[in-house]
Amino acid sequence: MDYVENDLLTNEFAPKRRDELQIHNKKLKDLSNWLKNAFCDNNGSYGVLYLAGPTGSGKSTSVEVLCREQGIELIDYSPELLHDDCLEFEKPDTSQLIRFLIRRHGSLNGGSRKKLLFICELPDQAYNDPELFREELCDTLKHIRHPVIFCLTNNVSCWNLNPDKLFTADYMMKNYIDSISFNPVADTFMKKALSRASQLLRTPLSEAKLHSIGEHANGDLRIAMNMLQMNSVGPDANRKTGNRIVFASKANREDAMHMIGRILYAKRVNPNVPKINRFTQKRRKSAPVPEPTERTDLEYDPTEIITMSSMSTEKLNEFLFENEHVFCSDISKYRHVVDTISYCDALTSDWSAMRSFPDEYSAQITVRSVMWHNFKGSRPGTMYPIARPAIKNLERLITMTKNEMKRLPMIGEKHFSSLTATYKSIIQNIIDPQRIEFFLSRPMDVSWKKGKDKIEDELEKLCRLSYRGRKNPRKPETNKRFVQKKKVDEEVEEEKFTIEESSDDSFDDM
Amino acid sequence: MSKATKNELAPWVEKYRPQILSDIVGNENIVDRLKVIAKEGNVPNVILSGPPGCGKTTSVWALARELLGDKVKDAVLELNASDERGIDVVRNRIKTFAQTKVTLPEGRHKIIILDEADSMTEGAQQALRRTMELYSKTTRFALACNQSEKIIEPIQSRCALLRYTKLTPVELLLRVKEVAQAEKVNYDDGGLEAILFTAQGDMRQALNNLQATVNAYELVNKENVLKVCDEPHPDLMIKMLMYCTEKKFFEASKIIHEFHRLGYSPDDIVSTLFRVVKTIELSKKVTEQLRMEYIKQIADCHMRIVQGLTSKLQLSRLVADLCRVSI
Repeated sequence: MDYVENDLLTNEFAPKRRDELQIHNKKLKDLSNWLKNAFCDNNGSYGVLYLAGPTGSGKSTSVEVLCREQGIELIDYSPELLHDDCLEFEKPDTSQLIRFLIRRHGSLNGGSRKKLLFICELPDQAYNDPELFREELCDTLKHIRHPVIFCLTNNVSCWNLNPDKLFTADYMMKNYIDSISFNPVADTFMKKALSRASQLLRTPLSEAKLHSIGEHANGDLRIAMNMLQMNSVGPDANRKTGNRIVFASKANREDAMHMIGRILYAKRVNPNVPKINRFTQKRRKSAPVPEPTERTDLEYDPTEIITMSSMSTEKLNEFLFENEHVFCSDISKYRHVVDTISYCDALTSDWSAMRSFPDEYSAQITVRSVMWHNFKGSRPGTMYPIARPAIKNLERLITMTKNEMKRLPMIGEKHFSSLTATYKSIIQNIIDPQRIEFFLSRPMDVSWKKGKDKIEDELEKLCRLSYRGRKNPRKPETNKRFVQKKKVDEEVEEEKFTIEESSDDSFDDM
Repeated sequence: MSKATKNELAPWVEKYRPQILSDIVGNENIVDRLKVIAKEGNVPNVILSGPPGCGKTTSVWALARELLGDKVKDAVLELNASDERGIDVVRNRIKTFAQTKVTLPEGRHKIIILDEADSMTEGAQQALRRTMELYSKTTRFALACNQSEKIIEPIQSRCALLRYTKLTPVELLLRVKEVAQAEKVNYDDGGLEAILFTAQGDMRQALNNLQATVNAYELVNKENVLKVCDEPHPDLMIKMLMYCTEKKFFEASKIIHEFHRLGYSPDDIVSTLFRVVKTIELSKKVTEQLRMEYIKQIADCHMRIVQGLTSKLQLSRLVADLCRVSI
């Protein structure tokens, strides 16, 4: 392919046509409809859209592509303005933004009558003084002469810079600001986008590499493209076979998996293994070397293992906690390990002391404890897939629901704080209080791990959801019990871990 | 001043800083990739994160040198944490640099190096976001930081993240030996070992300690290194731990009180003790599990010290705890 290797891939390979966009169709339709409507009704007022989403979810690219398609000219807001022949640097206050908004903009390339103001950055003052900004914007929006899109990233962990703080649901309702929010790019779309970009390269990357890039990008297309660029430069990008990627985090991830494996298997030096030299015969598989009966030295030093990856201690402990039950031989050992892990959790919980307290301590303690107790433990069959910390999933679900709920008119920011149960992750439709009640009173064997849809299905099967209000009669009890029992059988395997965990308090043998 | 004498006075860290990528030790995976990029050009924006002294800034500069050749002076802007880096600097100085025209070969870009980027305020990082995008045709950013989490998401999204790891003792030793030979240093193995022990994977610290020892004592042996680095002597620590294992409380506390009397802060004493327990081979009686319990006790004590209880009593308690530990 002949492209000048001069620009970032994120710009070079940016989609130009609608069919190249790898965004969920529904979102695109929403956006495209909004754009159409913005220029349709000419009753004096212009539409304002708040387009939010995480980084690299394709917000601005979608707008650009759709506008090109519909012949709309985008006028980008840039803080430095050429103002009466002199260049004015960006100022922290909102005056420049307001001036930009209320001006009548001439077309740069003639022709196009449709012009759209596109704002993807707000002045500092907006974040520092949200009240004032909202007030000013409210006044300004009455005088605008073109439709406006505010395209802002809203997954910023720094709350001060989060645009959701400025555009609250209430405020948007009052001022007729529409909103569309994008989600992180789904895996299938990510794969398609990556393989398209890879085809445009001089030497396409191997499937395996693309796959691991996609996996690592976490739904951020821009990061995926950056990783692609990092790994594709050079004539021999594919020389190293396999999926070993030079992108550091990936290498790290592999190391991390090896690290966790080494800790959990806790291999010890086996004196029974015959020294291999050229003359010894190949060992037959049917005669395995007997495991050492006493604890010999560890094959790998815990300190070395910990430095294998730059994984944070907290994460490492989460991983070990999630996987330890598979490797531990009996409940008393498991109790010791869990005890240690919880001790470390408590040790690192004090955030004021955390800053100067080296967190290597807790890694050392857990790793050593796990490696000690996993001696002669149960060994899962070949290739045990390491389970990811379930807590991360739960947290993600919680934040998702939190955001959904905050937007609802009945809850909003005000009443939100009173809802702090973990059930946030599964409450789907808060407007119907009956539903929440059902979720909260669901049988314990319906695990939250299954996700919202699955839970709802199951509850429906349990004939609980169909009972809404007093109009509908309750279904026969027998049927329900039967279903419930069947469910229990199916659940037993998955829930074993939780049961073990909660019951180990009673095995106090210290 | 002639160049030779100037070099005499330069810190060895600067004097022996690798100028080209192939001289950098450690993190081979990343450095190899950077080498390819240095040949081909078109480097993406990058974030280099990792502990201090593992070669982040060195690799960026080496990359810039190999990419830009003699244009380095004009085409690279480096801003340190010590430089003023508020929002205005990002707005004016960085933008102005991004806008200036420097003639470079095809596929080469100006490079802006922001060292210790995690100390920039969030507002300043936010302002940087757009500059990165607008001038991507001519300018690339390299951000070096210790914790990549402190970089705001929009910036992280615009960069490829390169995660550096601590250097291993072998990698450190390789380089320290090279420098020692080049400077004709009088050293023994114990001395180098002590340097590795005090540096803990930080190349900068290793070379500084080496130079400091040479300046003070000429000979680099264990005693001198520890004197210069002013660390509690690990051999005494080992002895103290031995007493603890034998449950000889009074002998053990004598040693720790001696450390205290010498003026080491409890924080220093405890961190060195931790390092000793986790890395050094102790007597046979210290089993894996006992070692784990020791670390637990030290962690507890360190936590209390961090919270503000830096009294001698806490040290005595630590020794008592260590003596009491049994399995």
